[in-house]
Amino acid sequence: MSEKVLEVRNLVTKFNTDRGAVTAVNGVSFDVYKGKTIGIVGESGSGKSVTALSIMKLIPTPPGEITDGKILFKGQDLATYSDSQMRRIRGNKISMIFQEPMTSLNPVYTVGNQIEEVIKLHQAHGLSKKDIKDKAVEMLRLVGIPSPEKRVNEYPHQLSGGMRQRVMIGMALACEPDILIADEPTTALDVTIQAQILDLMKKLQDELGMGIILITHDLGVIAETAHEVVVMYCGKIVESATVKTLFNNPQHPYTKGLLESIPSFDSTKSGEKGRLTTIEGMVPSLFNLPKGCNFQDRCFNVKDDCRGIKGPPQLEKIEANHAVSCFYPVGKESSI
Amino acid sequence: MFESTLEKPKSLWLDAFGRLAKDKVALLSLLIIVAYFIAAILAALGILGGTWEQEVGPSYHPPSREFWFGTDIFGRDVLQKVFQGIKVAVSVGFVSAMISIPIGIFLGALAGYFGGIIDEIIVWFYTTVSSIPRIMLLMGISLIMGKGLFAVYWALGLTTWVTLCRLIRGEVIKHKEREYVQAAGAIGGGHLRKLFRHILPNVMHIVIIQFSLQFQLAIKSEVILSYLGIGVQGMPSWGTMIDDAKLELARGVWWQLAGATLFMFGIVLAFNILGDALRDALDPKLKGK
Repeated sequence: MSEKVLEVRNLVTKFNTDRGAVTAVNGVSFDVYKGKTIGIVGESGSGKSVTALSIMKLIPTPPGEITDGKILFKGQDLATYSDSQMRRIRGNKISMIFQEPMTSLNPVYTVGNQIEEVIKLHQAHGLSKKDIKDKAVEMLRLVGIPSPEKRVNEYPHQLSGGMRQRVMIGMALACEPDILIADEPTTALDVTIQAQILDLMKKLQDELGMGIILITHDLGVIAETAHEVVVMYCGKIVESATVKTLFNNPQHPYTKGLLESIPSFDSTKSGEKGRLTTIEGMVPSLFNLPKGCNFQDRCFNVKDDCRGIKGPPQLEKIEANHAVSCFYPVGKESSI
Repeated sequence: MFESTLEKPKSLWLDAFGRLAKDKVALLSLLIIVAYFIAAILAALGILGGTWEQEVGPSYHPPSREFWFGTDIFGRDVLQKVFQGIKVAVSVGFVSAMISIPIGIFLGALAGYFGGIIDEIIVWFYTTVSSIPRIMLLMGISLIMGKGLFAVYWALGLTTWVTLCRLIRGEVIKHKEREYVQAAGAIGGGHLRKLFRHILPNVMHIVIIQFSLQFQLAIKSEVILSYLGIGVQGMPSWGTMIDDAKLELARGVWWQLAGATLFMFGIVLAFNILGDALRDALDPKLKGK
């Protein structure tokens, strides 16, 4: 196994709102390895993005607050870092790319300017202005932008969405970080561009060896790029496994439901009359979570114990690289 | 094939100027304003209107080829006095804007960005200032600071920042939630960098527009203050000339009033048109209209 660069342990992030405190991330733990990609999947509001922002410590405080847990980056606990210490980490050791390439670049500066800014912030010592500019051009070339010498002087509005996302990736990787957090990097792009961006990220990972945290709600993207997967629901991890295991042998009813609701070209696979399988019901409000398992009201396999007698299920290992938080994992039953 | 996208990129300001230049009336206004500025500099150097104190003709000589706007009670050339008035007006507009704009930007940006208690204090402060009738506040400050040009600068500078402050605050609130600001944080930028390097350049168009509107407001206010006798002392300004004219009009001497108001009309109108055109050229929401 390669070197472990980030270890998130029992992370809890709360938001204090007028209606009371909300626990957006509740006891999340996972590891990021050098050169590997960990995917975080879940629906809107499951706490994926808040997890990412918590690692960067970019949660607006107040109302947000990391109340518990450790974020160990190469053995150092980022949770205890001050803001100025964190600023030296952000963009330098841990970078992030965002969902909306259209709005993530500052419209009044050229793309070259914005890449140069990252370098100036973190690695400017001993570099002349020309060196920095050359490095920006180099980054643009690395992320596959044609004629980077010209593009470096262009403004974001002159670039297409895919190009801007490439620029964002270039900015994020300018200081060769150990970890890249990609928060739904392809959601706002069309499908052909999505594939290009994912290929680019893979290629750069092979070259630079950073660990990637890929946040998405698209299981297709996960299948294609991630090595390990964490499935989140209502701020908790419900299942974590390697990609192969998760897709071949899902244990949590939620994961199973998600996989079944992927449209398939094979009509015999889907239910009656060729209708798409769905997960019934809605995500419960974080203000009003049920006792016991959070997924009880939508679960096809729910038992009386799930409704609070035993408390919420804990994430338990069932195999070496496979953990699930469910009292009645579906895989077991089907195997009997 | 890609030629259109590879042409030399234009910055926002060049782009805006290009759009402004298409509007002929706005361009004319800009030229008029530049002419006023040049006249003001020449007047300050004593090249234009330097001889306004000299008796050059008979008292109350009506406009003629020699004296375009006639002469005043002491036989001084009204045109020369008008040029001195340009100097006063432009300097008042410029200096008071230079005082009020930094105050407005700074307080507005702080209030908008940090919010919370800072925002509440600043909002309380500017609502209090704006609740006092402007002319009373102007008179108050100029009387406290002692009459004269210097007092007029400060009186206007310290009372006209409220609108800009309010606009900047609103824009900063809008921009601080934008993703590019979050991205600036994600590359390791602190609060000051996010606010002053990333957000402020995005709201600068408001400052430019407000500058042109504030300029003419300051000119009008200076005229009012000087008319009331608490403005400029010991040198001609359009306000003091209009003040003189109120006694002269009964005797049919209209040219001093005409000279002062005509020149004031010119610059105020030009600034108003320019302000409108600047808004059209710089406001992204009105682009391509």
